[in-house]
Amino acid sequence: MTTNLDTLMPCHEVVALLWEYLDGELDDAMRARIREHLDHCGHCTDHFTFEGAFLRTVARVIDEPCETGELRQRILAALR
Amino acid sequence: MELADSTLRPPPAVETFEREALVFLPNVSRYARLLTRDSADADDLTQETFLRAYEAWPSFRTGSDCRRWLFTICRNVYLRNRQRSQRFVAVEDPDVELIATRQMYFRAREQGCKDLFDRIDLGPALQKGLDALLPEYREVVVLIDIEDCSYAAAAAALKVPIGTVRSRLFRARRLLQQSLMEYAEDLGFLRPNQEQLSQGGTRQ
Repeated sequence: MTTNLDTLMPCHEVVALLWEYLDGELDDAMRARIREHLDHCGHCTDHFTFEGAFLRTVARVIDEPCETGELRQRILAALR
Repeated sequence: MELADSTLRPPPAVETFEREALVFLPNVSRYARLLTRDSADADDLTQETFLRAYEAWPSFRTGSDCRRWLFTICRNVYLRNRQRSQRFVAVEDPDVELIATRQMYFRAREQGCKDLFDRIDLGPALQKGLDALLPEYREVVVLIDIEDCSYAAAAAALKVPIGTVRSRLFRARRLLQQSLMEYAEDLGFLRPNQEQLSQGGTRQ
């Protein structure tokens, strides 16, 4: 099936929904419209890829478990 | 919600709790540190989280996501304890934040660094950036990027309108990206932003 490029969302509208798209906040219809745009727009695809990598970096770094030292013993002592 | 139907079970043996809940201590401790930015406060918050979880353990549904449940308790205790009278109220505009975010992407692209986030270890810079965020901004990042909350769930947890969550999140991410870009500049991956240098640095 061919896409009528005249009906694609403009870049500035797609970028305005960038974070909501990456966060899964959009409904299926809007997601489909953005995906359709990305299928035809290398610039926006690159931008979304860039921001997606940023979000993965944030999630990876801030979810690293940290050393807990004596805290474990302190909690166990309080429980007993 | 992770509650079971039966609320009449006795508290578990400490060994059971240790095996099934305390195993997440490093995760909860990290989470508490992100919220409080103070190791002593974080330890107190973490301890209170586990004591409350222990008390509520009989109502926890076996097989549910214990880590998430502990994060929820931790966050609720933190929010309750926080001094709301000191809250910072900022005027935020998601559109402005998006424009600024877009400019950062263009800068990276122009300098051939579209894969910046995959190319260098940005952990230290991100940690610094998180430390520098105001609590209101850090909270939305924690809720959405660690807890995988929806915007609506984050708004409910923080008791603010969903639009506030959206604008704070956008600003927080823009500020974090700015920190990462500055770090990349320091390492020589990006040329310094002349406009920012002339303005004397970043601003929340």
